Amino acid sequence: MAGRLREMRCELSFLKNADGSACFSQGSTCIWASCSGPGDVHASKANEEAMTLDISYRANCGDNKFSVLNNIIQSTLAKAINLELFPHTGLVVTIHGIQDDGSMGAVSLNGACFALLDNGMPFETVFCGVLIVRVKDELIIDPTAKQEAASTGKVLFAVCKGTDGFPEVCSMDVIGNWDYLQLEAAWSLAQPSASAIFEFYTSVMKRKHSVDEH
Amino acid sequence: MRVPPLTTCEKEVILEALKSGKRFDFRGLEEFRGVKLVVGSEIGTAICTIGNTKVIAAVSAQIAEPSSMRPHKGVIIIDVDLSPMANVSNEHDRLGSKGMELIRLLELIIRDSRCIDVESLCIRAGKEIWKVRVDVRILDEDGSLLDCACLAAITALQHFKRPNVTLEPHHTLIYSEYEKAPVPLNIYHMPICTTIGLLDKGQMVVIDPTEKEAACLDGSIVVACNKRREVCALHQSTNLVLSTKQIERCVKLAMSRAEALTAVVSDVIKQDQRERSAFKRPDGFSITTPSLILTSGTAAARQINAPRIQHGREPEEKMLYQPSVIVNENPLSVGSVKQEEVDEDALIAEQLSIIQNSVGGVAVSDPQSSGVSKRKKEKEMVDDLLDGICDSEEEEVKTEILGSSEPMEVVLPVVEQQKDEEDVTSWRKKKKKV
Repeated sequence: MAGRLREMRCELSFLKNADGSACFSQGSTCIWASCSGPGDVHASKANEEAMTLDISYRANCGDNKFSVLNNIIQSTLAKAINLELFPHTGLVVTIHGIQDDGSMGAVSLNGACFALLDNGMPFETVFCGVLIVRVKDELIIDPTAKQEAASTGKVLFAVCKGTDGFPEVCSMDVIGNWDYLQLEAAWSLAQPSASAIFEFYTSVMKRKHSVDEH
Repeated sequence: MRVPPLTTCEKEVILEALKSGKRFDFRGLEEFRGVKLVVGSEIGTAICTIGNTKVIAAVSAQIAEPSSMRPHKGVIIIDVDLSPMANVSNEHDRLGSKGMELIRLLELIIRDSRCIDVESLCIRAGKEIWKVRVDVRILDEDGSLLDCACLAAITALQHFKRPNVTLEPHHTLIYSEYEKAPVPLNIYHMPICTTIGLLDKGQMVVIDPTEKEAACLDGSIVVACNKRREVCALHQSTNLVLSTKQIERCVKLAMSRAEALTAVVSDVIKQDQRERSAFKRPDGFSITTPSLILTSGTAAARQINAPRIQHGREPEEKMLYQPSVIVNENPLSVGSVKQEEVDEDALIAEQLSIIQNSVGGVAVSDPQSSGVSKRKKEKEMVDDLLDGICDSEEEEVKTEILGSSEPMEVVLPVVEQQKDEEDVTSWRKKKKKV
């Protein structure tokens, strides 16, 4: 069983007003993510024991009050960042889906992580997203919009880097009928993809901070 | 989140520089910032950048019912989204006064200037029209927000193509882009906005001010005009008193800008059309920053090979696997079934069926047939006996007459016979004794 991960490109710190920003694309799916904080938060939303997360995924067209992706991004972020370090503050993460060509969930998770890395948030563990779809009993990693539309099931893994450096599932979003074996197979595909994405994180961040070394 | 206000010394420095005709980004007072326009690979999307201000506009269309007031006119809706990405003081899904002002002005410029032919958007008068929605999303703001939003919206509208439709007597056919070529919107002219900052009660103009400059200025005037030298909209932000001459000067500046930008927009659209007609997939918004920039990175597409353990297992294994799923269920939960219980039930059911079968066999075949035969025997015996009794009665009738003790003896045997018919043998013995 094999698959392919589309070309990943990323650009950091290109927005003026946001604290951390990232433009991340996988193939022709492209998102812009920004992250601001920790900053002051409205008294009604403030939590005296932890940082308040305000996360919104925004598509190009239509109303964006509720998005299915908000939940998984929020729960993943809550695990990846130690929120208790910054009580009484807020962190705002905005993700604009600029161009959709499949696996938007995974790309938004990766972009959000890049924005947070760019902002310099203290991570407990970095995270990434991998979307796997099933088309006629075949598993496809990082599908294009066409493949995603033809799929009979989708799994979005939010993957964390475990303590031993190996990928671990942080949260996941499954749509369709999956039996345990298929899920296991999907996870076995997601693991190497996640490692590849983590490598990309490392190379980009090394490059960004290379100025400090010289 | 709050944004720190401009400090007094910053303001003083900026004002001083402006008054001496200098700006912090090395522009002259009447010089514009560079404009970058990119259209997306999806139809009807465009990103516009003026300096640091970035706006994306996306156009979508759907069929809707027209209002009764304008039964043969299409509708254009404009929506603006100011997210915290653009400015941390913004909140998600909440338009402040700035957002409302932006929407109103965009409506004024795009809808009320009648640059789009709304009558061609009508499919069936009073029944079906195209509802065109322009979503303007502000991604980053650094002054001249309206200019940028307007340019993005106009480019997206130029780039947009609606699906082709044909009318049948009772229904409308909508074609996909593979069946019939989509139709672009009819756009009469392109209104282009220019923000002009005013200083010294309108004596000095500062073209295309940045956010910090705008905070120091007395006010600004926005002029929307097209390349045919027509003014489409005029909006003044503060209540400054301006003379006709000052406004004329601003309009003249805006007109030259409009001509230049109209050329840029049509260039971008033409370039995109050329690429599409040559079946070349446009790059769209995918990043094309040079690899020299340190904050960018690229990872080539790569093959992912999974460890080959899971490759295609047999269905039997699936069957084997399933019971453990049942065991994993919480046995304490209501309605769950324990495996032992299932086995016991089966055992009991099996035993029960065995018992029933065996019982049935015994009860039906042996005892009943034997019972029948017994009964027959008994009947015969009873008949015999009765015959015998009758005989004896005849004999005793004679004795009745002779002795009084005789009838007692006769009654007794009859009673005994009724009491226990089965006990025929003993009765016989008795009889013999008698």
